[in-house]
Amino acid sequence: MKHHTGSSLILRGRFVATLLSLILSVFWCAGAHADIKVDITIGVVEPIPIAIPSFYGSSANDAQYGRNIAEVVNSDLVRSGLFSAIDPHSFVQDADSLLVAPHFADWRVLNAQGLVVGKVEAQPDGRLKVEFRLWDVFGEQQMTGLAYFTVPNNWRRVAHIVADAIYKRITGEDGYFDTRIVYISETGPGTNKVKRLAIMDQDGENNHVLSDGRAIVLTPRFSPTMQEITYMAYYNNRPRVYLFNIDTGRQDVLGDFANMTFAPRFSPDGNRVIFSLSEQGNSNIYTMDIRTHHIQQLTTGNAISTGPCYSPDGQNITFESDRGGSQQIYTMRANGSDVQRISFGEGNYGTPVWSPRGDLIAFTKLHQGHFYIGVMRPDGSGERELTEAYHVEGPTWAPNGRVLMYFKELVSGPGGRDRETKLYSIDLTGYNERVVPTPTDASDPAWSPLLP
Amino acid sequence: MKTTTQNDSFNKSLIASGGLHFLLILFMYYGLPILFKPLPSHHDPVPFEIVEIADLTNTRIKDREEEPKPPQPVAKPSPPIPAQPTPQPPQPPTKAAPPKEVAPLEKVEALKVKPVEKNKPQEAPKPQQDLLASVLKNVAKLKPPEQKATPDTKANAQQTPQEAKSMAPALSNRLTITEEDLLRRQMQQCWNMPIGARDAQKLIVEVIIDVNQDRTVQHAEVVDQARMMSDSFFRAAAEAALRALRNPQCSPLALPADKYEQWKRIDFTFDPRDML
Repeated sequence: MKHHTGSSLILRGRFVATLLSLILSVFWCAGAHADIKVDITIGVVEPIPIAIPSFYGSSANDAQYGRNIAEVVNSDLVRSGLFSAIDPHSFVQDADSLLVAPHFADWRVLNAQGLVVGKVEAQPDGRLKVEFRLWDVFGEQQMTGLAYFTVPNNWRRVAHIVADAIYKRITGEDGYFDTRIVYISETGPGTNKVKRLAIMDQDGENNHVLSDGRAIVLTPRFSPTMQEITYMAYYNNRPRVYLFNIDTGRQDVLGDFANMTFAPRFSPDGNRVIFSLSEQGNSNIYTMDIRTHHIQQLTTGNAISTGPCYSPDGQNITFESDRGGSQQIYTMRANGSDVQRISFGEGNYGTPVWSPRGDLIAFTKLHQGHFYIGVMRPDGSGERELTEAYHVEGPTWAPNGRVLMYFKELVSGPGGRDRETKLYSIDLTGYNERVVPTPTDASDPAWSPLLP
Repeated sequence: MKTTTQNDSFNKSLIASGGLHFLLILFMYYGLPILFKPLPSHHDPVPFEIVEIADLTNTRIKDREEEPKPPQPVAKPSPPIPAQPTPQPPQPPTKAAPPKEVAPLEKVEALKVKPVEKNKPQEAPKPQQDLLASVLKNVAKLKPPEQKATPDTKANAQQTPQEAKSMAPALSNRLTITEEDLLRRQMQQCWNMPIGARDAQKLIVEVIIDVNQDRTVQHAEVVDQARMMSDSFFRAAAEAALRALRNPQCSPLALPADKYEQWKRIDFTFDPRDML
């Protein structure tokens, strides 16, 4: 009994001591960390609301350009999926008072985070001066402000350049709006399609057909130096790789090979073309210097190795091959050494395309009758499928490595006998898939670098 | 008789021996018994967190109605839209050449547009839905269980009832875990993460803010100014963090009014690690 009381006394003593030290530690902690530390590790992924009122113009003509430019900037940014437009009807402040200074409170209630204020002014020499400022509505300060001079016909390009500047300032990445797409325009019935080489602005405007459609044209690719496209065409039933100069319309066959050449792509410096050459049912990868016509064979063996693509630094090459039994993606050094298989998922992998950012490789995958477009890191890790369809193929990167374009074949027509082929773009995150408007069916898109 | 005694003692020692051996086997099997059980020593470093939960935990029925927008309950004491107190005439225009950076006007007029305010509560629930689906998308994995794109833990974190109220009498001067959580969840809805950016996992932004007594942000400063100047990706991420802190939807901050001394300076870290 006595013992029991003793032990409970001890217990109580310890309890009090614990309590005391606890309380002390609380005070000590409170004293030591005057600041509260808050970790935010989850957020939202939402488009940033941005208000783009019509650019101000003092004359009717200028004002019309101002409306058009603001519209193009708006649709560029919204199409990227990273921005959302704010209904112009809700705008309170008018264009000319905006030029003086934005009433930030007015824009804050609209939940605008960015505000673009612009002005168009015809110059005495006939050119247009287009200027804009991007305002941070919450921070109430100017983020950027630029002015451009251009011939009036070029207003659309200026609008894309303005959109690129805004995109770059807010996301930190280069824009991709001032770019073009070359693709294969498809017309006619499914059994006898006419395939023409065509080019358009990234938003589907300014569409031009470049070839007459007498020869089938496939897999066009842009040169990083812009004036040239390489593609494969069947002239006189001989499939060959060609070079095509956009400015002059001149077309040349690449090299003089007895066998079929295909899957061409430019090197990052634009001086070489890497392609496949078929030999007795196999194919291997070659490069050819455009000026010296020097040819180098990079792969050997009795397998099909094709679809080569350089990394943006030109040091490595990714390609597809069936050397391991099934079609998979490999990488190697630019001289053909150190071949590594990087795709290990289920299904067949093909058409690898190295991102201009260098951090990812886009690919097409066929698994259980479904096509996927996905991305993985250059070491094969982090594989993600971005989109899936009955038939989806031909990924091409926007020059900033943030958006992919590809074509999708969809079943259409009575009884599902027809096929409809359209271009689509998707954000790298897998969200915001959108149709790219084309006047005809379209396939095999290739994104240009930023226009010079 | 002698033999009996001998036998007896032999039997006894046999039993004793057997008993002892049995004990030995028991000890070998179970280990030595601990006869004096020491009291649990409080010197052992047991990691614990002092989780303080405010008293009024049963008052959530009212909160439920407002669930989509956590910041709201705290916002009540003061007007929903912060700070533009006194209507000031717009300052005279500052004209500058377009490429030049222009000093911003400090304060503009008070709010004029009333009808637009209405939209805000309606828009508010949206971020929360998006939030559960906004990790990098993977079509192949998403397909079978469309809903389970996000780990359950995240969903749970979201659904934690919002019991703590700033009006509740405080247990101590520290922010309770619920109060901190409230602030965290408020900020989560205003932070638009830099997902999809190159090396997004490296874009961790620390921002220290000074808070006014009315719980609005007085001053926010990114800690790593040097990187902000040199790295455009980091600058974009840092500005996204600043936008979150200045977002009217997150103002005033969800903080208990009676603990100003505790939260007048807050150190935020924006780290997209859970969403990549």
